[in-house]
Amino acid sequence: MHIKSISLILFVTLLFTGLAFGADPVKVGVVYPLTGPIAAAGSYQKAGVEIARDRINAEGGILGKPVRVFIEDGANDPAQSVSAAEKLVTRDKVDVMIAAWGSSPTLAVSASVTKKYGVPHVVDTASSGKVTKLEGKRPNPWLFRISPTSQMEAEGSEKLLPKLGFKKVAFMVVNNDWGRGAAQEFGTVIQRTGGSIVTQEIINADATDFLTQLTKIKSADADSIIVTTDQAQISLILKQYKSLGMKQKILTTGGGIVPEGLVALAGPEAAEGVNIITFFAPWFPETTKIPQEAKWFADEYLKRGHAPKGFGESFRGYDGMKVIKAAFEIAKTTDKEKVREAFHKVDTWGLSGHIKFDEFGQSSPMILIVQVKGGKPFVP
Amino acid sequence: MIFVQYVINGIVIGGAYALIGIGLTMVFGIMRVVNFAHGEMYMLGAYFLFTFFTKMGVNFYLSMLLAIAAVMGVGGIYEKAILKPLRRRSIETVMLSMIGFSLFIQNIAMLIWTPVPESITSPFPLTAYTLGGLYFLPQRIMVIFVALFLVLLTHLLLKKTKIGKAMRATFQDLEAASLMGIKIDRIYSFTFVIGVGLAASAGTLLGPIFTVHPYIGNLANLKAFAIVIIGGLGSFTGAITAGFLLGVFESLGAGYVSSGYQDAIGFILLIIILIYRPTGLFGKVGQRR
Amino acid sequence: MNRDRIITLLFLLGSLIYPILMRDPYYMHMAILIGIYALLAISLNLLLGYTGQLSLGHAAFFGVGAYVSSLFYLNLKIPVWIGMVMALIASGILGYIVAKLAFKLRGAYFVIMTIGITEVLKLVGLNWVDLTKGPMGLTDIGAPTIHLGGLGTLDFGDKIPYYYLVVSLVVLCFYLQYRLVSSSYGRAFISIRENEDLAESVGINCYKYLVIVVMVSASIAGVAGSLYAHYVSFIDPGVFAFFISVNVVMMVIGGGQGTLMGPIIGAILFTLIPEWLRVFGDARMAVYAVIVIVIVIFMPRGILFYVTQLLNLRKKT
Repeated sequence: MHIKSISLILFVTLLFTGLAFGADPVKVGVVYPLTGPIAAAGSYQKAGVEIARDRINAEGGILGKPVRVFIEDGANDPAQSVSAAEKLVTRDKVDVMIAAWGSSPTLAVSASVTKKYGVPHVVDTASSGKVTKLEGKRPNPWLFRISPTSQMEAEGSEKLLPKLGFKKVAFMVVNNDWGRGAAQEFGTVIQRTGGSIVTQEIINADATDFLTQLTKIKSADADSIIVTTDQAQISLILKQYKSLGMKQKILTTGGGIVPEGLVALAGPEAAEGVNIITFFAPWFPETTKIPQEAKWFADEYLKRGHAPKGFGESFRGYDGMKVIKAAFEIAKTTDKEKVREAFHKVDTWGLSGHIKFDEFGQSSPMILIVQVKGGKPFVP
Repeated sequence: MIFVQYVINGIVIGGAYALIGIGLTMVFGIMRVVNFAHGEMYMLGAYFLFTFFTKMGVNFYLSMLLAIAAVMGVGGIYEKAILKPLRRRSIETVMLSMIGFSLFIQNIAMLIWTPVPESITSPFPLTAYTLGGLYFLPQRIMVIFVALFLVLLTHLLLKKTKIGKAMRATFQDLEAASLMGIKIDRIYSFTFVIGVGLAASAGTLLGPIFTVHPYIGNLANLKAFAIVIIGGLGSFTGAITAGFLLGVFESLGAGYVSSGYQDAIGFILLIIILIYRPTGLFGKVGQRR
Repeated sequence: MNRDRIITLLFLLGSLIYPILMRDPYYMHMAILIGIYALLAISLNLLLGYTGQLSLGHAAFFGVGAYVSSLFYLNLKIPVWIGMVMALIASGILGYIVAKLAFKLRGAYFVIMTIGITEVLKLVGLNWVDLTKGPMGLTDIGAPTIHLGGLGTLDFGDKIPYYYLVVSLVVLCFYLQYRLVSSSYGRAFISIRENEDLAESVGINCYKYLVIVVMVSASIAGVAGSLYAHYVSFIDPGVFAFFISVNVVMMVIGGGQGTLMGPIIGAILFTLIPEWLRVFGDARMAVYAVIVIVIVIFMPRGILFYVTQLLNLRKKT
């Protein structure tokens, strides 16, 4: 092509993009773990955020303005996340935040940054009850959570657990508020359904050897195990569980696990029969009320070259962006206080189900249990 | 009965610990270098195995050898380019630069292979052998055998070969050895490459058992240091004994006391040894730091 | 001496009027963190810079100070000031214990011992959930207040008053460092650093001085930890992180070990550098590692020393 034509096209393109960016963008600040042991999950969720941003911008942005995402690394550490959040709020002047993955850094950012500066704060991962309810009161009126609490997960699974044969349950949970909280909530539910807790094993986040704990569970006469930790650790547990010839039924909680991940990391043998609690089922788009969008998301995610084992986390970032768009469109402005009020009026559908916030800023996503059968997901 | 299973589990994981430990104690003992990047060599061994075997489809055992060779290559360059110039510097400078390198290698690995944890499916069967109610996992039994084999090999190297003799002389008395015409630089390079190779082989053995991600070197490092100190700097017997001891103690501690404090056991033993017998169980008294 | 005094006074003046010039809360936030780290750096400088003992476990004292102060405040509902004093005492006691445990060790052994102790403390913090709430951490740690009777209350919850609180403590500890170093204690420290056997042979009781320096160092670090806890109002076992220990060592070395202003400069540099490196995204820590290596190998006397050397060379030609 002629150099003149190229430059003309380029110039016109730049003109338009210049116009698009000339319009004041809506700034979303994101604090995710991009380095450190949770960097994998951070990268999957970042993918979800980027897919949402591109789709929103392709459809005209928010309130006609383009969306710009500012991502900072919180490393899932409270101090670093607070620093990252401070920077986003005071220097980049973001209009809204998604932060900070784990419950501890989220609590820190909530107390030290978003509550102090009055910035709407969407929580898409943390599961500790304390984030939305502390001693019966709502700790931060600016915070809205779309991820379920461990209590919700437990109560959402209540009906299925006895049917799946979870009567004498052993717990293997990671040593943080997520794991311990899950053990507590699921323990309550198990006892309510007439079952009993056989033993509770707490494992360190960086542990790789579980023979001791598994041996203990084996000799403790449990018929099932509820495991709460990340995908990589669960895969190790499954491999070792299989090698010991154990046959207990297994349930994973937390939502970040997907059959593809377990099969890839633990092998199809070890992953067989494992029950997984998930909040998004990309293989069954009809479980969401937005099947077309769900299918589109799954395809787009894979098209961008991301690993299927990251499905379980990626939807969080996507839904976070979706709810932000919904809130801004109700508010019809970027004024933070109006946006905050708008969040309370949001009533929409995300990949993880219905999004509507109660008086504590907590939404109730769907709780699904999916089983791995023949290496593929299956609804029991 | 469960006690015996705990002990067996402990011995098995202890074998892996011992393997990580002997590489470090050799480098520590002969070169007096505090190689904080030892754990990263372990991590690279696992990653290279992943790349050759899982990504490129090379035969498993060949991949192991290639991975070890690759890491030995990296180690060789590292020794020539970095450790040699630092030889005259204070031990603090060397330690801190090693920590810097360890951090650097970890993050480079994260950038190359992404932080997503990977898995290596070994050709070994998953199910364990049973013997009277006790379980033995095939992959892990292999770890012990290979570990002992490598220890034997290294022992033969040290006792029966010329270069081994030179290494022992350097360990005993640096000045005398160099006065006797031993090329210290060559010995150092050789020692370091062997030490790194041992760490990498631990990585290739344990990689398929556990997952592979850029930070697995951290725990390997800490355990390796605990073992080397407990066993005594430069003592093979010490590293092996300490490795098995640590494995068994950790297993029993996790089983009977609390699994949360499992990692603390190594450090507590380390602190106790440092207080009462800093040269370690098998270390020679009066060794210079 | 005169030029150094002028520089010190300039720094003091600058830090006093800083909040008036910089109103942006982000800059205030960084300034407060720099102040807290400056305390940590001064404390390690006494141990590393003047007595020559490298410790890679300084986070132990920092963390203990943070937890003790927070637990006293949260569980006993006593004023923050008392909690801070308890933090000082607790870390001082820990310092004494560490000194007793490690007094025979030098060099690599001492370093590994310090790492081991900090790791054990971290594991205790993670597992003794009843006391420390484990990984869930302690929340809602309030800021100090002073009740002025009829005049009302001074609440340090805002950035500017907290900043002045931190600055006053930094000035206090700086002065303490100065007095200590110029006294006979200081001379004893330096002689231990230069040649311990020789010092011992001229009658200096090295053990006694090591214990003193570790205790003072630990106490100051404990106060830093306490200030940190009441500022971010949330702590978890991450206060024992290895990265903190490494970063403080970099502050002391990068700023110039064994000098009075060194820790202050180092604190400014190494609180800001991790933030500046954010532009590198995923490669952030890799670049940090390179900086660590470059400084440790090529600039062991501190960045300023080499920068002034470079400037001097220019003047000569």
